[in-house]
Amino acid sequence: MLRYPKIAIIVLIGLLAITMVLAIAWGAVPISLHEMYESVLLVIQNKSLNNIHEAVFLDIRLPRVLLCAITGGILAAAGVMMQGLFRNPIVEPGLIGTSAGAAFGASFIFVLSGTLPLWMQHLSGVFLVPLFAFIGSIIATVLVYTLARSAFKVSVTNLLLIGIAINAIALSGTGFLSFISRDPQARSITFWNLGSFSGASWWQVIIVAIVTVPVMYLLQRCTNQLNALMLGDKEAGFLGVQTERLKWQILLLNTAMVAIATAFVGVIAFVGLIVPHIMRLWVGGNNRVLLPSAFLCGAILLTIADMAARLLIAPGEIPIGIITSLVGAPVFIILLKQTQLLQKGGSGYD
Amino acid sequence: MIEVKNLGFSILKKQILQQIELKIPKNSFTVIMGANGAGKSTLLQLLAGSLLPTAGNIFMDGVDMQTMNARQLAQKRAVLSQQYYLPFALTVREVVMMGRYPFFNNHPKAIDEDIVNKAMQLMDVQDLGNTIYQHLSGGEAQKVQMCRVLAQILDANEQNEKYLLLDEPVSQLDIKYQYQLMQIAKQLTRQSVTVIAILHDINMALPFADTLHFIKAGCLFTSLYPPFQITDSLTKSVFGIGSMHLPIPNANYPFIYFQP
Repeated sequence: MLRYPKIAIIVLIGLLAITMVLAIAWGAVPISLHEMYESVLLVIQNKSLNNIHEAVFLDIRLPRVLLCAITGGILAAAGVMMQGLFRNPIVEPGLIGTSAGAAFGASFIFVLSGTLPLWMQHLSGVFLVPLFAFIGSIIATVLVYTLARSAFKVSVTNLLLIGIAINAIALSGTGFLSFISRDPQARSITFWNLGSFSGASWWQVIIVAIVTVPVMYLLQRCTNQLNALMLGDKEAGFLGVQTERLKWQILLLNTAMVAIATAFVGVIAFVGLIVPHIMRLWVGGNNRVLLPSAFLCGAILLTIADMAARLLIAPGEIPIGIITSLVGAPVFIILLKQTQLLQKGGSGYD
Repeated sequence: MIEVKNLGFSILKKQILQQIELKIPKNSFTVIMGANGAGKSTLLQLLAGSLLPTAGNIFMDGVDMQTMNARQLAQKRAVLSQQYYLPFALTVREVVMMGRYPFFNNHPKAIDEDIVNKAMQLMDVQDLGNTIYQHLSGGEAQKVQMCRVLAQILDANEQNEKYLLLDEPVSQLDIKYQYQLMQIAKQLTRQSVTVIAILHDINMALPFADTLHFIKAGCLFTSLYPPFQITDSLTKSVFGIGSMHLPIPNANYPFIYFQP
């Protein structure tokens, strides 16, 4: 583990910058550094662009890479907060209904948007799916939280159990919608569940960024208290932490962040589970360092995954969820095995 | 000073403690003893503020504890519990620094670093600062937890009196460190800290205690002050086992030998 965690953050920022530049440069339409520089200059000077590469850069590639990075960061950061809250490294943001609810909301629009009143359908189709996905994930998570709450407190075990139940309900709802849908709609549902950045736009980047920046700031301020929570609810209380308030604060912030990202991009698996684990091996379990490190690492990894999604079968695209799962799962197994060997008495988690 | 007035605690219709009245004077070393299930842990939890009384009040320095919020309490008292389990890897120093969380918001200040250093020196773990907590032995881990607890109260002084609550703190330590911990706690009573401890072993308590409170079946059975007269009938009533007290040369407390 690190003696000077600030170095990790600086290294990660550097890696992120490099990764983003490469991600912008490589693609079905290659974009050179010169073209990137030129386009930014032209925009600042308010002139029209020279060629199609610059248009691709500004309208498609740049927002896509930005959205990728922010989303990767969001998912990883949410994973850190969830694992801290549950004091368990095997939890990820989707466990309390956020992803399943979003999937149901999106599927509802894919299949049944025709049943909505006309004025709603006219709400630019581009925003209808994300809107319902967002509403779906919020409703699902609020339901999980409310049901898991007993008179005075929320037990994390209850959260997990109710989360499983709500996830199952949402999943069966989505399944039913799939069942009654026509083929193109069914495909939409499938691909939405695998995630994709191909529809990225500046609007999405702006909306997600507006939510993410204040949320990350507030979550960072919770990290010391989250550390104290590691000792247990009672012990954290002895250190002055108001555990119930902390729990719902984190759940609220987390859900807002993950819901907004999932709404635009679909369900992307494994990032929230694995990135915190990887970063913990490097910078340790202190959430004050782990949170920003995981955010940066998640941004880097998802950008790379999206590069692979775009390049492997260029000009076609593989849904990014396939890549994160296919690569993420074996990496996770390898990491787990390595930590088992290194640490005495098991994986260090028990 | 802590004043306990007519304290009662019940849960699910089971009365665990009733009509407890006691005063814990400042800078004293109070030990609470009793058989398993008598209610001593509950009493300590109530004194710590992690449980709310169902009857009666506890006043800490004249203030009703129920009016204090978690952070205010954390700045006045620290609790050492029996078992700790840390799910993620932290360094020893990071664990000890948690004891200063009630005193800073995001970044520890210089005084926090100083107190952490002081606490680690007191428990002789200053060389373990960068070791990962999960790699420590049971005894070392318990010492590190004690450091964390000490870090909460080491800045006590006459204007800022603090309380140290110990819930059977010596279970994992070897005999030398058991006495060391008790001595450190006793020394703290000369530095504006009031110590309240639950101990199983009466012979561990006698050299250090100013007061012994015996809890039996949820009630305060009796309180003893030096010189401690621990009779056979007392231990039979409280612990259910007879005893003999043997004089110790050069000590003003006896050795209690239990005989079934």
